[in-house]
Amino acid sequence: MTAPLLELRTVRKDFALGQGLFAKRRILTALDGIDLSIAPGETLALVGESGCGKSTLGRIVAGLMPATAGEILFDGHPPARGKARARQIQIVMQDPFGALNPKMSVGELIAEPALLHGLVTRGTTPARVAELLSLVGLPEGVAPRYPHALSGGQRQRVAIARALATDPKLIVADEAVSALDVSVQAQIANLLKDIQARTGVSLLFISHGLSLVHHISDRVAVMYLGRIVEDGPTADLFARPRHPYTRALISATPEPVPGSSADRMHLTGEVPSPLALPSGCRFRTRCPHATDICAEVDPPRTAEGAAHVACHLAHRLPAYQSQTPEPAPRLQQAIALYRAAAARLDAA
Amino acid sequence: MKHSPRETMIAPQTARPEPLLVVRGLSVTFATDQGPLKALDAVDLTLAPGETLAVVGESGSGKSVLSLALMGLLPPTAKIEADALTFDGRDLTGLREPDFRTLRGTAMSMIFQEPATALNPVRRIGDQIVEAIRLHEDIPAPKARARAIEALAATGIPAPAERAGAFPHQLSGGMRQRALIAMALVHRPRLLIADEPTTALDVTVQAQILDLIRDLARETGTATLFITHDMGVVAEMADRVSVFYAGRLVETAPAPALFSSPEHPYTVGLLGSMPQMNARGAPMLPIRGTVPDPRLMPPGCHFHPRCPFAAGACRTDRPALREIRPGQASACHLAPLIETLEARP
Amino acid sequence: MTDLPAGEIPAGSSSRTWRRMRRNPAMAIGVTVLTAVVFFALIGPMISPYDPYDTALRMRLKPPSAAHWLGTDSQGRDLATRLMYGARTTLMLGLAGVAFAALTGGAIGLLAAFYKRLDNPLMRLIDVLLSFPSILFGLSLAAMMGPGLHSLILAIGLSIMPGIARISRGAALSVMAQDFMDGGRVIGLPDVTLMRRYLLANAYAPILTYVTLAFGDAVLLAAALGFLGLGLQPPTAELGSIAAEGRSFLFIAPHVSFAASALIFLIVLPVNMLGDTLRDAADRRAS
Repeated sequence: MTAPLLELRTVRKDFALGQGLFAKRRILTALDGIDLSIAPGETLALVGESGCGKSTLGRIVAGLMPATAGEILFDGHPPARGKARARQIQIVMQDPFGALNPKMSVGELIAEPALLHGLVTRGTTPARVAELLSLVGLPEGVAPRYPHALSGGQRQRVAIARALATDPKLIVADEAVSALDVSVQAQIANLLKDIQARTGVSLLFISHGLSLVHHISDRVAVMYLGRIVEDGPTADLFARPRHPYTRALISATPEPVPGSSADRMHLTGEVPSPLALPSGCRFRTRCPHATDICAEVDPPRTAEGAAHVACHLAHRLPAYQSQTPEPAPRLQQAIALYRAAAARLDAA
Repeated sequence: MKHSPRETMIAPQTARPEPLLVVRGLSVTFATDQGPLKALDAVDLTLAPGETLAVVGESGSGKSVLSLALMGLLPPTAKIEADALTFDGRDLTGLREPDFRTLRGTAMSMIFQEPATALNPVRRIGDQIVEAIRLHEDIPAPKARARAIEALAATGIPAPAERAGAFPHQLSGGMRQRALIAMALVHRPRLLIADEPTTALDVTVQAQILDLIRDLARETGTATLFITHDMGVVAEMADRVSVFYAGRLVETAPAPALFSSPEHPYTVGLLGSMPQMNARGAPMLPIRGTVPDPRLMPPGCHFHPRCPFAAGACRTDRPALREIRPGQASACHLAPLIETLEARP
Repeated sequence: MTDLPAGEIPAGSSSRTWRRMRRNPAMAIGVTVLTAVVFFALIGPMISPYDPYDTALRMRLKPPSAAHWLGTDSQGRDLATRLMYGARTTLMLGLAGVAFAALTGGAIGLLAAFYKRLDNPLMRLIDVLLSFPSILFGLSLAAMMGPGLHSLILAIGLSIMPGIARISRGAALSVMAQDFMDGGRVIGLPDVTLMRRYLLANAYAPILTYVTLAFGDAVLLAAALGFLGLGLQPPTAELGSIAAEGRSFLFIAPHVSFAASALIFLIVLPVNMLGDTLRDAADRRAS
């Protein structure tokens, strides 16, 4: 295995709550003992539901907040501090409507990081802006426009161009496609993969759902309540999910085939408050398989080939059967025709 | 317009009961600073009692405007035109606001994407449901309270009597949505409009809420108009599906037919852009381009600038909604798609 | 590839605001009156044949006439000329006060929003300032520092600064909550640039609106301090002190106090109308 580009060792993040005059101070542990690594050119998907800490982790990696404890290594060293960090890691955020300064034109937005880091001179700026715009599939004509005149997908492309302007080695895509229409999500997902193929940038793809993740990531890490409960190569993880929570996530994702939901696995209840964590395994309150040991001992993260899982019962669970149904033949035929026609138009 | 958009009416399926909701030729136009904006353009819809119809579309499709129009909740700046708009045999077009309000409280109800904004933040959940009950029913408060707790229990909220005393912010998103569903169903409405009710929820909670809506609707015989952008959710919930694009109805079909043999390129594109329909590692199949500006709709078929199959007539003539097979109609000049396309040179 | 939406989103938002304002008749009246008053205060002194300090005891308290359009005051000075100079002084005091307040209050508000650490100390300071009634505050400051131009501007400025600081902090906090602030931070922008190009550029509109309204307060406060004798010392012409001088002769020569008061009214009213219109226009744009 190649040396990792980014490595997190037992990273922890605490938030102090209730800093008011009379409120009692409480500590919320958003991340607890996170081990994670991303290889150069790799896409790691970080998946979990709201409150699991995935966005906090993304912000820590991007340098927007410090970790409380643990070690972060970038290329074997602690990441650069201050301005130089921007050359290493960039972030693309979820909300395409709030992520761009509305008072700056697209051209200014894309030129700003390049100018700040001295990567262009005044003279070479327009050429670099045009190059970045074409890299994200936008016509040069958008440079003088302002974000409010663009659609959500176009803004997200601008955000990606801006992230690319400093030539980072790693881009954190924090729910970068979640707010977009499904058909546009596919555009942006293609764009990210395309850029990765061209520039070799690594991606930390943070998502609350699994469907896109299956498609674009090399490895997946599943988070629950501030812990990584399972991680592994994508194909393996989807074919043989070892943690009950991963199974539940896969099972709960609605498939576009009628009647496919009949025998899915149901989770009861909701994620407990991170201020009142369950004893032992954090997932046990919702786990259909939980036994006594789950309430007593916090399951350690153990290696299973290239994967890791933190579950006492990983070896005792019933064999997993993937229920992903095949789309109807006529639908497949229609999609194939659509794909062929679209490809012909794109080529033209 | 040369062609009437509805040359053929969709033949009612055999033995279908009298429809609960009939919408024909519904258009909604907003007056804006930059001129009129047609959010809905002559759309049709029927819904039988107890049936679940999914209305699918992306942003700008007009699907949310449709729900507001049906509920009589559009702002006065909206101009509503319809050939027919009847609910339970009643004409809704001329309905005055007080009558609409009664209808909304009892026979029709609605749940929203963000339950937090649909609930009053400074009143307890139980009190809000009691108020909803007593607004339309003359029963004493303790009795209404018992009904409210019963309704909360029916949505699977644990310790409903306790939760009734909670404020909305003290509940999780899933619990709030349950409370909203309890409130919406308290008068056993004949029609429930669910506008993206699970979009803001986590997948595992979404699965629970979808089951709940389906079970409760089945129990009470409520017809559901389920508005969503997620084809996966559609597959799970719908008896029938209507696909909207840029303010128009482009395809309507029973759910099994739509998923096995879609007859509008936009439907194909929507399904094709789902990650599940793409081989792992291969590029995804997006729909090219973006939704047009509603003030500058393209002529002919609204979808033609993005349609990979578009040809001559698509650019000039609005396609009529034609029945392709029983119960399935598509507003595409090329339908039936596969046959037409394979016949192309 | 992506097609851009064919429709250019029309007109910048600022020109839309301007169009809305033009459609508003209250706005038109306000601007006209204010322009007239400013003209009166700036150009008047250049064309008036009288000296505002030339006393003529024989001409005391004369009613309006062809030679003296607004009559004369208790020292026999031409009232119209006195008012021109007075309006100029009062407007300048208001302007200087509000400028001081906008700079300090704006800076305090932005800093408090940008640096969480500073929020509590700065805002508690503002709370303290706010708990003094403005007039009392001006009184004590003037008493402490002695009457004079600087203490007067400081008193006016410090009185209206807390409001501006609070509004600025509120506006800045809502901008701080937006993702693009992190978007600026993550490319490595220094704080100063972030505050100017990102924070201030997106927060200034509501602040400016409030500052316009605060200018009306500043003028009123300047006049009130003048009226109480805490303003610039006689014989300097200032609207508040002119009104105060006239008060002693209210029954024999009401025109002195009346004209000075009317002029204050003609400054403050259109300023407030202007501020309200700006606020309404901004509110409507936000909704």
